[in-house]
Amino acid sequence: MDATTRAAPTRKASALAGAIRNMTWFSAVLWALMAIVGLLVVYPLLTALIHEFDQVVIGLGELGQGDLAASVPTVLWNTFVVVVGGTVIALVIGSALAWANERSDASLGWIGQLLPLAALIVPPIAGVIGWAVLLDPRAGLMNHFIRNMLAPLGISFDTGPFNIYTMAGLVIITGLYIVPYVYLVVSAALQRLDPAVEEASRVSGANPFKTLYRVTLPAVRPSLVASALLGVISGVSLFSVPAILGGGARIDVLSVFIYRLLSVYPTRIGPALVLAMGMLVLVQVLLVAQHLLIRRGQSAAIGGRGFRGTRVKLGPFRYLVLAMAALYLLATAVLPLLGLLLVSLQPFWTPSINWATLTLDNFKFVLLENKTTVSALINSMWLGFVVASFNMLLTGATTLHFVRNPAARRLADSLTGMPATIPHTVIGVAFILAFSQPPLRIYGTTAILLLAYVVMTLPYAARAASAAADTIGIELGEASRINKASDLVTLWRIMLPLALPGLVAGWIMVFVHTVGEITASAFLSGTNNPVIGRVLLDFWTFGNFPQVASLALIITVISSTFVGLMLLVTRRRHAVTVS
Amino acid sequence: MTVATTRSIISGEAGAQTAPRVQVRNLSKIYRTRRGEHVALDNVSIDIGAGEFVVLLGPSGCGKTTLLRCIAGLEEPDGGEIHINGKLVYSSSAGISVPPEGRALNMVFQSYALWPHMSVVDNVAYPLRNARASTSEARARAAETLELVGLGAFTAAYPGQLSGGQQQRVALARSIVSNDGLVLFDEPLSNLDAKVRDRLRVELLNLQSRIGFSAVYVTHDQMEALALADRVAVMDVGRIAQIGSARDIYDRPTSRYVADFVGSANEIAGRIVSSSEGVAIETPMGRLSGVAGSDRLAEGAKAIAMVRPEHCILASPGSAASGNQVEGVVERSLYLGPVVQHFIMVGEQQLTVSVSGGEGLQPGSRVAIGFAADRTRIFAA
Ligand SMILES: Nc1ncnc2c1ncn2[C@@H]1O[C@H](COP(=O)(O)OP(=O)(O)OP(=O)(O)O)[C@@H](O)[C@H]1O
Ligand SMILES: [Mg+2]
Repeated sequence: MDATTRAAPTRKASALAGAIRNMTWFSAVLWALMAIVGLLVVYPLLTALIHEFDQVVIGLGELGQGDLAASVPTVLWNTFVVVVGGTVIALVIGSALAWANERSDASLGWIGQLLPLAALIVPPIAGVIGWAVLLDPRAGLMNHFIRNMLAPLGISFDTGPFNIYTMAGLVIITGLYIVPYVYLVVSAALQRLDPAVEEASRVSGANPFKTLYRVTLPAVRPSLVASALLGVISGVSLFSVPAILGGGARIDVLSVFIYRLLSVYPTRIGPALVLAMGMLVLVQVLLVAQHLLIRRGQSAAIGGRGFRGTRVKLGPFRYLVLAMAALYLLATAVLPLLGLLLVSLQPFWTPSINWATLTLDNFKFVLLENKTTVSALINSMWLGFVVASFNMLLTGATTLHFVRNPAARRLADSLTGMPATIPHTVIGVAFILAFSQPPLRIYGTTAILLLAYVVMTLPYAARAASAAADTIGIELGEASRINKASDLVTLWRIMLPLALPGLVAGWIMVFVHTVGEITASAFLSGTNNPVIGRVLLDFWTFGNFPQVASLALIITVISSTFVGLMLLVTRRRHAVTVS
Repeated sequence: MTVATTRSIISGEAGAQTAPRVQVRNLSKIYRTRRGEHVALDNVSIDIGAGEFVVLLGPSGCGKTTLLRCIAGLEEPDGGEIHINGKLVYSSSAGISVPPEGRALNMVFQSYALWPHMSVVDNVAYPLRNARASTSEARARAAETLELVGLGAFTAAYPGQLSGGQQQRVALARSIVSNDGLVLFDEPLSNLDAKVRDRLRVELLNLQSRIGFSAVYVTHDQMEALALADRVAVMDVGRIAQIGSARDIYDRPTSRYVADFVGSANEIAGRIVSSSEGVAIETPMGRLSGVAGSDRLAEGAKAIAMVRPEHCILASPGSAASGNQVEGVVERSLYLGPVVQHFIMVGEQQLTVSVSGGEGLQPGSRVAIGFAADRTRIFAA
């Protein structure tokens, strides 16, 4: 690079001209790639709407009368109950655990670290299948176990006592997978809140619980509301739980209902598109609300130093909190995995385990014999690898390169963050409709999955890259420039090594999300381009339960191995970081 | 403003003798934020001579860091010119802006800004590597420089394993290793405790006189400024209020702002009664004579007489004195170690008198305060 002068022809160049003058081939490539990704979001939505406009009109009519007019209100009501119920459960569990971990002597230790990762370690699809095999009213392993325990007492049932295929089951399991969102947001808010404000309340004569209600909760209220909205948004797009449980329970929620509209014959494009757009609008409204609240929330944040105040002594309640945390991990990971393991080792799903016939045949079938599962595994892994690499390279290079240019970084951030505002169901619908017609007729190929995954996981990548860049003090880069390093040398020798652990963590996160992805996989994958998510759903529908269980276990092992690696990488930072 | 600055540049001893290392002309910097425009630098001009140590002193937010970063090239100014070693590195009119890596200077950051993933010797060797030195040669020179700052034994350590003072020495070594002739310091010692600060300050001066680099040094600490500086530039919001030797600034401030900001001052309000050969001012304490601090002193105009507490002496009431003398009642005395500070009510106003050594005074006792006319500076109010 030219290190002497950058002369401008005119006296007062406009900001735009200045930006173009400072454009290097490197930043030009970055902008081009981001523009392409941005296009990948906008193009399918617009194409779907424009091409199927007459269908939209028809769809509006069909929703007003006919069979849909009767079923859609029920679907909407179900969705409302599942999402709001799940969010409430998550809010209670998530914020209680966050408070206990940040402010009480019931520090959760490693559980506290794993909690926000629960949904990554055990992909929701695996977890929910695990619960289905545990609490199926007839064949559920746990139900069977409980019945056996109760029989000697003279209490006997043929089914139950629990039934996962109910509204309650749907709500609780949905809630379990929203907990990490709440926990993360509330934890962060509590970390920002200077414990001194709570100590001041204690010194002023309020007991711990009064302090909690009068000081702590009001101070983090914006974050509570924000996390509730986040829960609603993620609950609306959650596909795995209703896809697995909704069928047995005969309860349809929106995301699965839309999928059905497109997978029945004849497909009902209009109503699907109208409902998807409604979902999109709802989420946009919620996001705007969340944005406003978080802004206010940040201005209400007090202090910023990470110091630890005295912790509230919970006494015997400590064990209650610890039990709650343990129970959560049990519910999201241990029990469902146990269920999956037991079913996967049997030739058939039977509630009573015959220890003599345990077999690894299912794993052999899934991993070696069955063409579909083998190619699904290979496809998913390969896609995960490519998607994670592309997204992390793009977002990593962008964030680190534009570190000194806040305006460029904001623009890049809003481009890469855009897909986060679009429910995956909507992405699925738009991709199907837009990419099954010219000029880009790629429906049924691996390419469409690749594009969809790139779009869907881009926000995760961007967030990880931002977090990695933000931990590097600005002065570290400036010191490099002062020491005569060009921009690219600074990027290569200073910023990249320092950001690497964060970038690797981001790569793993994207990889894991891609491998365990369900929604887009359901919409876009088929016999020609199978991926794990789609195959799991199909096998479940066809009743190949032992194979489903072993496949679910396999992706759990893949996920948790990678998450373990991620923890290792992020833990192994330089002994003490400077500035 | 420009006139005053130019004059003080000429009166500065070191700056006038050799060609300036840095020449800053009419530099402006405006931050445009959502809340509107903020003028961080307003037509600032300053010269820094070869081997000269210039300290920028001023209240928080006055633009010291901004000025430093503009010189470094880390911030793009909105107007003016900067020359370094006679080479034009920034000019708004010519559209020239040389990036930091093209400027012959180095910088020590407040946070040290050591790279945690590189060993100490690699941190120091970095500027040499960027100047295309071979790895072994760069390491060897880096090790020599580390020896110079007393860290010869720590070459293989990582920054995270060093104390704050040691880290600051590494940062210092990194800034002088390539011998660019100019080092910028942004409050380099402010994160250290008082003892370490004192020691590093002396080491810094020794290094500077040995190697002979020019230094621009930003600090909040007045004593540090007076101790280090060949010249001190006192900044007001966005501009340089006065620049001169430590003695100039302390004994001969040219504005109330500087008098107030550097050291402490008793201020006595009144009206000018005569402004020929010395100035006389009529105050509630009586007529005081002094010297004009700034130019515009018209007879009859409101004015402020200013005298430093340590330029006052105590006498018993009624004793004959040359210079100004006022009488008052002791409110209270504070023992501060090296000095005793007396607070004395003279009429309605409290004056402070610092006496080195000596005893406390009985509250309520009457004393006279004397201060010489040439220690009394009078400014337009
Ligand atoms: N990036 C920025 N955007 C907007 N305003 C800024 C920015 N950087 C500095 N300012 C403003 O410019 C003014 C001068 O800032 P500067 O950092 O130079 O002050 P300073 O004299 O170094 O203060 P301190 O002694 O506290 O370090 C301040 O009012 C500050 O708010
Ligand atoms: Mg500053």
